[in-house]
Amino acid sequence: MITLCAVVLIFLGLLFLLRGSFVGIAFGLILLGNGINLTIFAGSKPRLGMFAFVDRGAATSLSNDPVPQALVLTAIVIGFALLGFVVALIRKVAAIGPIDGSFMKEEDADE
Amino acid sequence: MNNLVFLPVGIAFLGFSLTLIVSRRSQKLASLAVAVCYVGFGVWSMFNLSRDVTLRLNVGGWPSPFGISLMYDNLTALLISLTGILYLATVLYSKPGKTSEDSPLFFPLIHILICGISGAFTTGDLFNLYVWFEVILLSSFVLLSLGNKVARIAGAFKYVVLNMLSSFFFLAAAGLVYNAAHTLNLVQLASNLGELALVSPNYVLSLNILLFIAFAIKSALFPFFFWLPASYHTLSPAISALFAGLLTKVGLYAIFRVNLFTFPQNDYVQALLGGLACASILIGVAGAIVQTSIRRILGFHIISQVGYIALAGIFAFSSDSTLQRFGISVALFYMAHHILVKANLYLVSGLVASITGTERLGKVTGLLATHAFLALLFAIPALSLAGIPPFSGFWAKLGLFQAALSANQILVIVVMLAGGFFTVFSMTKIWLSAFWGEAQWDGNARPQRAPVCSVIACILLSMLSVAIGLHPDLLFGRAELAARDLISGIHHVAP
Repeated sequence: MITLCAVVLIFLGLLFLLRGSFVGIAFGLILLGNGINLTIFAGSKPRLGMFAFVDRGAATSLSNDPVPQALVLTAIVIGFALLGFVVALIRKVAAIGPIDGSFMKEEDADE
Repeated sequence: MNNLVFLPVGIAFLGFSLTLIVSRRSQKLASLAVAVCYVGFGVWSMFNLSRDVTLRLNVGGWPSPFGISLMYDNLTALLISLTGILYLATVLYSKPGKTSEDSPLFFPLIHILICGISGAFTTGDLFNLYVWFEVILLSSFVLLSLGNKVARIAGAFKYVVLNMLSSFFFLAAAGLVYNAAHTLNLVQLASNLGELALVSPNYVLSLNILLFIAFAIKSALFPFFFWLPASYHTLSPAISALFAGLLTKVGLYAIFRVNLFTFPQNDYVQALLGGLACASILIGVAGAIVQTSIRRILGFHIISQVGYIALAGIFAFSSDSTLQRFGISVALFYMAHHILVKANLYLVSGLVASITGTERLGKVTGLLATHAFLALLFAIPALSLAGIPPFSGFWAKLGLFQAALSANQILVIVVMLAGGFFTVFSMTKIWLSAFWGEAQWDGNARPQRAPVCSVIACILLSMLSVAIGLHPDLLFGRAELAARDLISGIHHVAP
């Protein structure tokens, strides 16, 4: 189930990225990032409703590996910071040119 | 002793905190002091600290895979020293009050960028490498988008999106690697992945390729380079020098450390890296031919130089261990030379722009007659980049030729010769149009005096290039030790 969600998110993310508008790119990056986070989480084969222990000993069937969850947590935080930056950048782009990005095509004439 | 591993990151972070507190006018002075400490530690560690031992530190005392381990071997020491030299040169060069450099965040961002780069070089943990990459990315994003010029924002947007995609690749690969190998520590990964490769070689190979794509985007190898020429020329000279010198090299370092020497040996990866390296050499110089602005030409040349360094791939798994070690040390020598020379070229082109007001070829001519010293400052790194004898580039290229010759890679030699020829062509093009001929400047731009500090930074880097050219053994000896650690360290040293 989690794997299916991850695949759908990644697929939608790529679809949005390829649409080529600024807002599409922002949505694409959000969906793609979260899809990858879910992939990592799903890849650790989590037992839902169980705790995550560092010192698992013999009780591996009763607990989850904490490292993938820590990785996902870190990635979510970093991803959120990046997202904030991208949104700010898009606002800046919108302030200097048309939102469809046509001004990016003509290469700058001079520095 | 092992606690010293944290020092490069610590010093740079100290610089970051310090420049946030002190007044605008003393920011440069504080930055200089911090950068001098950093260079001092780098050079000291290169000669004293890690010659025969690899320093390791488990942060917080947590054993891996739960804790993060840092390591400091000869390769790290070499790269930290080079980072330090560029750090110092950039801080020295920057003159507050010009374009984007008037932001109060300018110096703190340089420090945090260096902090991220040092972290990437010192870490021994795959996920920690990802986190340091993000530190580098975020600080470079903000440095890129300071200011409101249209070209800069457009360039920044391409840079941001493509580098974020690269981070996603890296993140996905790191997570999957953990789920497959149950560790993130590079030393343990080497053995765990080796065992896993016996069971499912194709899965390990696909993880390897996924990581390789992420790093190849960072290092601007052939099909992944489009963000670089779109953004680098729009930056202020000091920042573009820092980016050009270091950012692509972090990607190459990660390819060397992770793809070549942590993952089990794989001929496919070797062939892929060699092929992309040759393609980058040719595409880079070909792209430079049609450009007419100095820093745009230089931007394309970074791609071709990255190709030269990535040629290490064709020696990495050579069965002849002498050739393997020689090939890798030459590639590291090339990397060291390239870091110094390319940054220097960017700084000098910044000087040209600040004196004449433009860096478009055709609008600025005859600088040799009016600014002979500036012409000399440009000529040294330009000749060095092209590989003319008394400078560092000659030895770097000669070494690569020797290695390729003994590996019987005739095609690679032909590619290298073609790349070298067109590099000379580009440098001559800049020289002929900007420095030769009568002094004739477009419009009413009045020639300005170059700031003294900036000139000193260029002289420092030029002198280093000449010194390496006259006495290559010193650097080559360090590169050889670094190659030894890179090849053997992860595979054979217990944590």
